[in-house]
Amino acid sequence: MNIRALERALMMGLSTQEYEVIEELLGREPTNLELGVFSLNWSEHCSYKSTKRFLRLLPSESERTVVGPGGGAGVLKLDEDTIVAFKIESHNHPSAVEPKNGAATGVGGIIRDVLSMGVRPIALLDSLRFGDFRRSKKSLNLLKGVVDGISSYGNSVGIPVVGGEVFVDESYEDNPLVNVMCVGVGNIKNLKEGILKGEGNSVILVGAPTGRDGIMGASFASQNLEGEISEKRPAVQIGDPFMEKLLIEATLEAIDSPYIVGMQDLGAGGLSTALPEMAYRGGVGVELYTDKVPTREPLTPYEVVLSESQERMVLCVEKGKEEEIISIFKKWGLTAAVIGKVISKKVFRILYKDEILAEIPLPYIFKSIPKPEWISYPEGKDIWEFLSIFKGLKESYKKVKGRHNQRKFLAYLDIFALSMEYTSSSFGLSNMDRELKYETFLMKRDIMLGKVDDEAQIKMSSLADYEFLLSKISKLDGYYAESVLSYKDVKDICLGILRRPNVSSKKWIYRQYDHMVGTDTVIPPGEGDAAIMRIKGKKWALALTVDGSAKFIAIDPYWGTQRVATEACLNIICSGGEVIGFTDGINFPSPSDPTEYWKLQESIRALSDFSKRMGIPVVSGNVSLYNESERFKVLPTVIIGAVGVLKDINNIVRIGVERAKLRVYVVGFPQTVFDLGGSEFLLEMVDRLNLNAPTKLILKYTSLPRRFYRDIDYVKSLMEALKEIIRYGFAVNMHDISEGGLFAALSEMVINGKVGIAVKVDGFGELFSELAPRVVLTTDHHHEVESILAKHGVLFENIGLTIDSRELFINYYEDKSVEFGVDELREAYYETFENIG
Amino acid sequence: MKPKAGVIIFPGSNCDRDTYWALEIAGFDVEYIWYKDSCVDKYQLVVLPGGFSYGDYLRPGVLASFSPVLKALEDYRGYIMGICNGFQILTESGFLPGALTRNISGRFICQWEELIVENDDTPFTNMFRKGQKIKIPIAHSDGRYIKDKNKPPTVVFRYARNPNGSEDNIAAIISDDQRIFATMPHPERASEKILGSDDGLGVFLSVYRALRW
Repeated sequence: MNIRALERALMMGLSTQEYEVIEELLGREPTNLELGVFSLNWSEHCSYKSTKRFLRLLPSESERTVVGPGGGAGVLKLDEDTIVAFKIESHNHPSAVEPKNGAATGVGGIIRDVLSMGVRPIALLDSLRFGDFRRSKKSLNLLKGVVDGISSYGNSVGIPVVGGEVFVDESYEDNPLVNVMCVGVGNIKNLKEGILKGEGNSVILVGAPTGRDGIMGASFASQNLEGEISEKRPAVQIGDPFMEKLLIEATLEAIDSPYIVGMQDLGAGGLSTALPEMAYRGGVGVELYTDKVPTREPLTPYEVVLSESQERMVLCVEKGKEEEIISIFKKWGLTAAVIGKVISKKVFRILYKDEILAEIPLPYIFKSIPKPEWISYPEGKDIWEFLSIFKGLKESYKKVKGRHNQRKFLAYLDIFALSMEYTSSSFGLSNMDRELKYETFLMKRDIMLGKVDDEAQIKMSSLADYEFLLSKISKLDGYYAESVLSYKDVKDICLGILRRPNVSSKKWIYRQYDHMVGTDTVIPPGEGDAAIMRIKGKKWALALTVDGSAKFIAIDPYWGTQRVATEACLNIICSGGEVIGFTDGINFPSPSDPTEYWKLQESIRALSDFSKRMGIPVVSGNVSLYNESERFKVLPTVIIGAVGVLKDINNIVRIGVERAKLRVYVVGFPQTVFDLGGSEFLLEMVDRLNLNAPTKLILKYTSLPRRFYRDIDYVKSLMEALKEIIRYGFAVNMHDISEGGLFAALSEMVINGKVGIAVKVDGFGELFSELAPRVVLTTDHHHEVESILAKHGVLFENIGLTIDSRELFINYYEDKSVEFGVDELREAYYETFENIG
Repeated sequence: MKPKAGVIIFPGSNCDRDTYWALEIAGFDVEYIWYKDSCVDKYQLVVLPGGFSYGDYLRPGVLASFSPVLKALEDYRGYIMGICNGFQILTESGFLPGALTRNISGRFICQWEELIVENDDTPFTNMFRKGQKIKIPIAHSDGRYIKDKNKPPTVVFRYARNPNGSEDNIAAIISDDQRIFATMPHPERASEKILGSDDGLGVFLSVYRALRW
C-alpha cells in the first residue's frame, strides 16, 4: 500500500478500508483524480452507504407513481397528462459555514433537481432549525443569513416560497438544519430522466461556466463540523439566481425538443458524480473531454471534474442535433458546449485533449463501495442522570420570595415531574420508587464496604434535594396545578406559549419571501395547515406542506416519526385535500454513535410502516448525517414533505373562524389527560423553573406515550372520517393540533378569523398536549359530523362554540377560566420574530 | 377586435406569465415581446412586468433600461404600464420622474397592502372612484419612491399605511400625458377573487375600457 496515496485519500474523506478497496480494484496506485472521483461518489452524501439498506424499506409504488426514488426528484401523476415532481434536500453544513450562500445554493440545487425531470418548478417550502436566537447571537445571525439566502435566491428566480416550518433548540446552535423542498408541475410528455443513452450521442454542459468553487463539497458535507470553520469556506459554493432563472427558462424551452435523451442537474460532486450516474443508469459508458468544458478561470482537469459550480446541467443530446439545443441556451445568454460522448464500454473515461487521465469501470464506483458496519442499540437510562436535572433547584426554590410565588414554583415543578418517566405516578407506584429502592440498596452496600466516593456524595445530595422539593409539593393544599395557579398566572403562561419561537407566527420570515409570484398561491403561508396552489386551467389544486419532528423522535424514534408523518397528512387533510406522496428529509448526527444509529433505524422503520399502511408512496428523499459539532449533536430530526390533491379548488377548508354559533370539536384524542411529554407547555415550565438541563436530556427522561397513541389504524380511521366530513361539506373550519397544543390551535383560528371561540376543557392536559392525532373542527352540521365520527370509531368531544365577539374564552378547570381579546393574542403571537427587527 | 397587449420578457423577468394571464382575463389579445425586439408598434398596450431583470445587477432596472426594446418604446405612442421592476426600469430610463430606492427596513417585503385611489381620471384607473380603498399586494426590496424635486409626479395610488418609506406614501404614478403608468404593487396578483382580491384587475380593465372607447 502506498502511504502517500493513502494520506491523500484520507484527506479527501475516504477511509483506509475504502482506499484499500480502490487500490485492489485498480490493481495499482490510484491517481489524485481517481481518488477524487471515488471520494465524491462514495461520500455519504452521494452514496447513502450507511442508510440505503433501510431506505429500501420505504414503499414508493402507488397507482400514481411515475418515477420513484433515485432520480432527480420523485414524480407522480396528477391527471391524464399532468405530473408533479418533488423532492426535499438539505444544505446543512454549507449553511453553518456561510448561511446566506449555503442556503441560497441549497435552494438552487433542489430547483434544478426538479427542473431536470422536465417540469416547471412552481413552489418551494423550507424547514429550518436553529439554536435559540433569543439567547444566542450566533443563532440569530445564522437565522438572518439563511432567511436572506433563501429569500434573495427564491425571489429572484420567481418561484414562490409557499410554506415551511421553523424550530428552535440549542442542539442546532452550531449545526443548523436547512431543508428545502421544491415542487414542479409539467406535462408527462416532457418527462426527462437523468440518463445517458445511445452510443455516439453527445454530452452537453449548459448553464454557468465552471469555476473553482465548492471543490469536494460533498465530502465536506459527510463529515462532522469540527475545527476552524473558516477553513471550510472554499468548500461552499456561490449561487447566482439570475443564472438559475435563465437556466430554468432555457431548459423549459429546450424540453419540447425530441432530441434530448436525458438531463441531470450538476449538484454534489459536479461532473464527477453526475456523468457516471447517468451512464450507469443507461447501461453505457461516457467520455469526458475536460479541455472542452467552458471555464470562468483557468482550471486543471482535476478541478474541472470535481468543481461544484452552481447553475449547471448536463444534457444527453442526439448526435447531429447538438446545435439546435445549444442555440436555445445561447439565446438565453448561457454557455453550452459539447463536453463528452456516450460510449459503449461501461467506463468513466476522463481525457485532456488526447491523453487519458483516468478510466474507471462504472461497476467499481457503484457496486464495490464498502458498506460501513455501524453498531446500534437503544439509549440506556440512568436514574442518577435524571436526578441531575434537579441540580441546584432547591437553592432556586429557597430564593423564591412570597408564598404565592413559592406555590407557583412548586406547581410548575409538579407539572414537570408528572411528565417524566421516573416520576409520573399515573400507574400508582412510580418507576422512580422501584428503581431508587434498588439503587439506594446498592449505595448502602457500598457505604458498608467503605466505598464512598465523591460521585456517591453528589448522587445522595441530588436525591435529597429532589425529595425535599417533593415533600413541598405534597404539602400544596390544592391538589392540581390548575387550582394552585391564579387566573393571572395561567394567562401569563398561555401568552408565554404563543411567544415561544416554535409556536409563534413566522410572518417575519415569509414576508421576506415572495410567496405570491406565479399567481397560483391560494392559501399562502400562515393562513392554513397546508399551502394550496391552484393549477391554471384545472379544477383540482395541490396542497403542500412540510413538517418536522425532533422532540418526539428524541423521546421515542418510532412513535415520533409516526407522529410527524401523521401531522403532515393531517395538514393536507385539514385543508381539504388527500395525500398522494411523501418526500423525506432525514437529519441525524454521526452514525458512529450506536444510539443515534438505532434512532435512525427506528425512524425509517416507522416511516415505512406508516406509509405502507396509509398507501402513501415515498418517492424521493434526502439523508444528511454527521450533523454535530464538538459541543452539540442535533436532535434526531425527520422532516416530511407531503403533496396532496384537492379534488375541487372551491372546497378549501380554512383555519380562521368566520361565523358565530358553530360547534367546536376536538377530534382524535379529546381527553389527553396529562400527556404533556415533549410539549411546548412542558418546555415553558422548564424555562420558568430555570432548569439547567438541555432539552435533549429532558426529552430522554420524558415518559413514553401510552400505547393507544401508537395505533396507526386509529390514525387511518380518523383520516377517513375527516375526509368523509369534508366530502359532504360538513366542516366549516379544521385545524391540526401541533406545537402549543389545543390552545395555540384555537388562538390561530381566532387570529386568522373574524369571530371568537368559547370552550370548556379538562385541565392543562387537554389544553396543551401535543400528542397526535388531534384536530379542531367547527361545524354547522353537528349530528352528521358526530355520526360520521362514531361510524369510524373516532373519539370526539364538543368543547364549545364560536362566538360573535373576537375573543378566546377558555374554562380550563372547574370554575377557573381565562379570556383573551384578539389583539392580546395577536401581539404575543407575532412578537418574538418581529422583535428581530 | 380585442385590443392587443404585449408583455416584455427581459432576462430575469418573473411576473411576465402572471401579467399575461391577468391581461387575458381582462380581455386583451396578449403576446410576449423579447427584450431585443426593436419595434412594438403593433401593440396598444406594452407592459414591463415585475421580476429581477439582469438579476438586479448594479441597481434594479438599470441594465434593462439599455435594452433594445426600451429604445423602441421611445418612439412608441401607445399605453405603457410598468409593474414593480417595470416601474424601476421606467424611472431608470427617464420615462417617469423620481427613483425607487431600498426599503427603509432594508429587507424584501411581500404582503397585502391597502391602497387609496388618488386619481380616477386616467386611462389606468377609470374603473375606480377617487378615494376608494383597494387591496393589492407588494413584493419588492426597492420600492421606496423618492421624488425628483424638479419634476413632481402625478400620483395615482398611495399606500394607506406606508410599508417601505415611500415619500408621500406614493405607490403608483402616471406621466403628464397620462400614457405611461407605473405601480409598485402588483395588480396582476390581485386579479381573481380566489387569490384574495380582484381589485387589481380594475387597472387592466380600465386600459381595456380606455382603448375600446
